[in-house]
Amino acid sequence: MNETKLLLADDDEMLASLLRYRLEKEGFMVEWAPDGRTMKTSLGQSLPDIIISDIMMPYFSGIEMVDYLRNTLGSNIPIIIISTAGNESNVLSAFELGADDFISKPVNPSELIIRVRKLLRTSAA
Amino acid sequence: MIHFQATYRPIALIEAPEIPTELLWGFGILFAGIGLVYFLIIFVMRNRLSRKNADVRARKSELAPMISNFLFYNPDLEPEGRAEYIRMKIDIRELLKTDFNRRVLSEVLMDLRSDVSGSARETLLALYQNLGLDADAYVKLKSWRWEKVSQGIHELTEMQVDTSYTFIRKFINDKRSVIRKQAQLATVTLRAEGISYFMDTARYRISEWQQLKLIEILRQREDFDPPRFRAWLTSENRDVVLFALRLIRHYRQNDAAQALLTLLKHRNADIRLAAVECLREFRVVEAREPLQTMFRKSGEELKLVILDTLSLIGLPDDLPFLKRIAEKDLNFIVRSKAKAVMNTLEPDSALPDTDLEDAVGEAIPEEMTIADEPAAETPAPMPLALLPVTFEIIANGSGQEPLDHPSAAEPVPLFPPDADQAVSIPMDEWDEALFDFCLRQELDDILSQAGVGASTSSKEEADFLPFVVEFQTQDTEAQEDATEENEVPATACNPENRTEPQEEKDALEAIDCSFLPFVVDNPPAMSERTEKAPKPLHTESSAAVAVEAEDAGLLEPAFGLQGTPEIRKAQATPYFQSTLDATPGKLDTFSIFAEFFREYDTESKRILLKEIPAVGGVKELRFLHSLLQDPDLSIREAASKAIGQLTARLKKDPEKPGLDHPASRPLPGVGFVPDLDTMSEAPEKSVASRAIRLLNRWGFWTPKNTAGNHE
Repeated sequence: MNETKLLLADDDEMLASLLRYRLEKEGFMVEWAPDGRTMKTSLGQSLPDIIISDIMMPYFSGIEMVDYLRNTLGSNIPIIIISTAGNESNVLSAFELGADDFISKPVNPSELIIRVRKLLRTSAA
Repeated sequence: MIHFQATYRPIALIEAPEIPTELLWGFGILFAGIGLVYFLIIFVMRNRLSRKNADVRARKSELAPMISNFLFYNPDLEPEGRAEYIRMKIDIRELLKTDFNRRVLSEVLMDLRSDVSGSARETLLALYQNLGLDADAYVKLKSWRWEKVSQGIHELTEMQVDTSYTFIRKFINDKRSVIRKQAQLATVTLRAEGISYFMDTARYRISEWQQLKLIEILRQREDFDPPRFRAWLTSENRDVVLFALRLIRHYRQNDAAQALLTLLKHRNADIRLAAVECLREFRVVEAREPLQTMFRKSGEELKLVILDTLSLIGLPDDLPFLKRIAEKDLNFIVRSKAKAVMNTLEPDSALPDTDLEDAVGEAIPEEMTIADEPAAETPAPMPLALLPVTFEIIANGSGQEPLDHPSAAEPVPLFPPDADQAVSIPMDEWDEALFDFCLRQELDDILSQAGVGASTSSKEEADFLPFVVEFQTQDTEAQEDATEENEVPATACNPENRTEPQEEKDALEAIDCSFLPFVVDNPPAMSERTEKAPKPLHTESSAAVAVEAEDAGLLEPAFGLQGTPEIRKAQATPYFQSTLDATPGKLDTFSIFAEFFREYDTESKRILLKEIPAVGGVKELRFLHSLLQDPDLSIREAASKAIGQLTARLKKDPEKPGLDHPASRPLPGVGFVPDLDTMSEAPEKSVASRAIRLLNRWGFWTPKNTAGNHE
């Protein structure tokens, strides 16, 4: 069975580790990008099945990633944005550029997994 | 050979001190060494911190999987992982024996606590206590350093260690403000009853920011049942009372009305203000009178709040009170607010009363009546026939058919088609009839607008129309008297009796003539009676237009002379001098030739002088006499000759001067017919010659042939 490839982009190492552990436990093949540059490089090599990205990251923000993915690469990969409280404007910008869903911090891992599965079902359909 | 040798010996005024260079070198080396040591220390410490941070990061990355495993392990779902779980637990307890590891793990758990929510957070908090990491926080509470104590309180609060409540609440009244505030927040956060304990025991000031933070904590608390905060309205701590009032308003506990009314009498203005705000929030009607009572001694802010409250709870009975405020209060804002409240309670009870004009409210005078609009009347029957007029647009020689203009499709009548009568009028009287008709129409419109109504336009009904003032005529006796004064003696006019210039001048000066111009149609015969000057336009009775002798300068022409009347009189020409000598009611005659004479060139003047005897009258005679003083010799000779001819003609036929002359028939509007044959002999560049050429070109005059007849 092919595992679903998931790209997790977050500069918070501990949170990323925790989410990575949780997602791998759910059967996802998680690739972690600590910053925007690494994420862009990873996208250039191979496209994942779904992307979970934080908005604020060094070198390349989550909004730029969405724009890059939608307009430059022309991909329709599901994208989930992780935002902090009080960052609604960036969330709206991400949605305008093509993000599919967002989740705010503090992140509930169980809720995140539910959203991921839902987006995968929708994209498969 | 003499050699001079100058020896210069400087005289030192200031002696420079000796500089011990060795000491300087020593100081330099010393400070360089200190600097070097300083940089070494910084370098070493920086390296140490970097190494420490690297160790922390490495330790965190090592502990992260363990933490994740501990957080997401579900023994019910993963029975096979239980052994792994127990092994990891033993490993981590081994790690926690080191302070460094404990510190790192505490930091990791603190960071994760803000990043995760739901069940993961609850597991995290339990793990914190299970691993015994809260013991370190308790140790910090016992430190003498305020930052350690504050850090410990913060950590226990963040990790929601409920058992630390009793330890933390002791710091509510700590003398160190940071610890005190931290403890207050922790007390309210850890337990629901913490707010009550805090308000019971707080002895220090509670800042407004602190109050807001506490309210925020209470607001985020789930299933929080607030106590009745009115119990703290009697606290001795002023800030506790204010905080209670704030909480009462926040949680809308409107059962403290009596306590709030009592607080209106508190000494503290902030408390009174908060109490009024609570009363406004809860619409306590019983507070009307107490608010009015306390209004006078309140400040501006409190007054505005009171007025705002009265706008919500006030009744029309409060209008007199508000009116007094609106009239007598010294503060503009308060007065304006009072008026607004008055209008809120009873609309239009406070109307604008400043900067109003007096004209507003004046009654319309009785004599001024507004005429009713005239009833629509059928227009009067047209006295003229409808003449259809057709318009036809013809192309400019293109040979095409005439264009059909839309407006020319039908004959366009000159008058509205609702005329009843058609009267045929001969074409030669067409213009006159049209003019009369238009005038009648216009007059009817004017009369109808004035409320008079269309009528036959009698004289009385047209009184409202502007009229030209006519000079009132006096009785004949007064007229004759005025006429007698203006009589010109015949001897002065008879060339045979002409005297010397000086005597003639005196004779002229003796004559009082009217100033304004007038025309004499039938002068009396020279032999029978004295010539009468024409009736003056102004009489002595019209004093409003009387001109004083000193103001004779006003009678001068536009290019009048300057100076005193005497100077002007001496410098004036004979013609102008006669003007200066004018007295009220006795003005000189005026000749139209004088106007022409002023503008013509010399040659034209001579031609004009030749024509005067044929058409001139008495006034021209006087004018000619005035030209006898002209500086030009030719003008003087021509004038002299003209005087003789004119005098002879007037003597022959004084009643109709100039009528037997072939050119005596006047042109309309001109009254003077020049001899074109004479003018044709004028030089080429003169005005007369130019006029002759124009007339010839237009066909009005042709030159005489050799037989003396016009071609």
